[in-house]
Amino acid sequence: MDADEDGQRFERSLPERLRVGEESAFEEFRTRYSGSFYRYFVRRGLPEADAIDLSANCVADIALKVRDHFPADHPSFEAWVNLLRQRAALDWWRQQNRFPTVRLSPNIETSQEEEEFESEPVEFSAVRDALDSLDAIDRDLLLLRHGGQVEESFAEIAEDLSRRYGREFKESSLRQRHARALTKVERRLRLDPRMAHVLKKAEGEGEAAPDTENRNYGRTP
Amino acid sequence: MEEPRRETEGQSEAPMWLKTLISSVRLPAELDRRCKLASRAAFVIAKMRRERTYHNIADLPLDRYLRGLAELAGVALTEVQSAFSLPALDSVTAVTAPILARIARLVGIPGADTEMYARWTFLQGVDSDRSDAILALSRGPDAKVPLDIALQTQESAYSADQAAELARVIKAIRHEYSREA
Repeated sequence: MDADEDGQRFERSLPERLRVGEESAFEEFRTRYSGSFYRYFVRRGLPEADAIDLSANCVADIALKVRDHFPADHPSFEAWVNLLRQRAALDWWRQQNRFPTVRLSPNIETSQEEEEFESEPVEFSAVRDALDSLDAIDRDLLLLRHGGQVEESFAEIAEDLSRRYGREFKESSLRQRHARALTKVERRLRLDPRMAHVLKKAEGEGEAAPDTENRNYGRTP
Repeated sequence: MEEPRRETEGQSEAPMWLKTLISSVRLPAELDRRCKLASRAAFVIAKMRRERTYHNIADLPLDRYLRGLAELAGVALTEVQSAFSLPALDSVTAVTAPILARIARLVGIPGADTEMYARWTFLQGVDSDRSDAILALSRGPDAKVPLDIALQTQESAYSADQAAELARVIKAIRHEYSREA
């Protein structure tokens, strides 16, 4: 099944499953939207703690609104969710500025500028897909190593993963794992058409070497 | 083209574009935790909401009604309480009123009912004997006084502080419902 078919199937089934209160639908809604809610709110200028609060509120409120407020003939569930997310952000800003809450028309048009603002760079979804293709430990390892503002050392990561997974991780084996995972992700991203402009830019800046075969992310030769 | 590599701990590292992208998609662990709780709470509320279609608002203070609904739906109301940071259900204050109202709104209880039954919960917190007296006044085979009137009768005995707190509770509930659209 290709991505488009996947998307279509999702759009048809998730609202229906939420409508009847299927447990897995709430979980799927969370998995699919919590990250995009958070990133949207952060881009909208909310502090991290408030962006987390509002994202959690949206995960519950929007999923519950589907039953009574999502029209069965609506062309796009995604667009409807995005509209509610946008309203949540506006509401938050109004509260901060002590403006009265205003009811928005359900037919509110989203401006082109807003659409552009809302759309996440395509390379983000490519990276998420690449990370999702790894097993959970490798994914956590890469996110711990490269996900923060400051890189965690392998010793810190070993401690962290040991806590998370309840078993011991050795620094030396993590280095090997890290190298393999990074190679896998990079190889996948280089083949992903969504990455084309990023790679072109990086190459222009003399950063992206085209072959990953010869790259050695610290593996023992 | 030879790619510049940064040496860290004696190891080669990922190119900058890859590190930048990985760092862009990382989400805080707290977000994951909170959203999991919220998602579970939404599921519990959906079950309670469905149960409500069979059992309309009963003659109970709001907390007892919500507990009853959860029990009938076979779900744990505590999951909603922990997701929404509501430590106790059996008393309502200006601080907890918006959360209680939010739960009631999501469960599908109309604003006027939430207000009335929250008044009852508030009275219960102030004086449980008087709260029980409401039942005798407004319910039962010989009762002739509507619940809202019965409540007002009891509320007239509130101290100034209690009356002010109740006013804040009602204001918070109305504000929560005004956001519904």
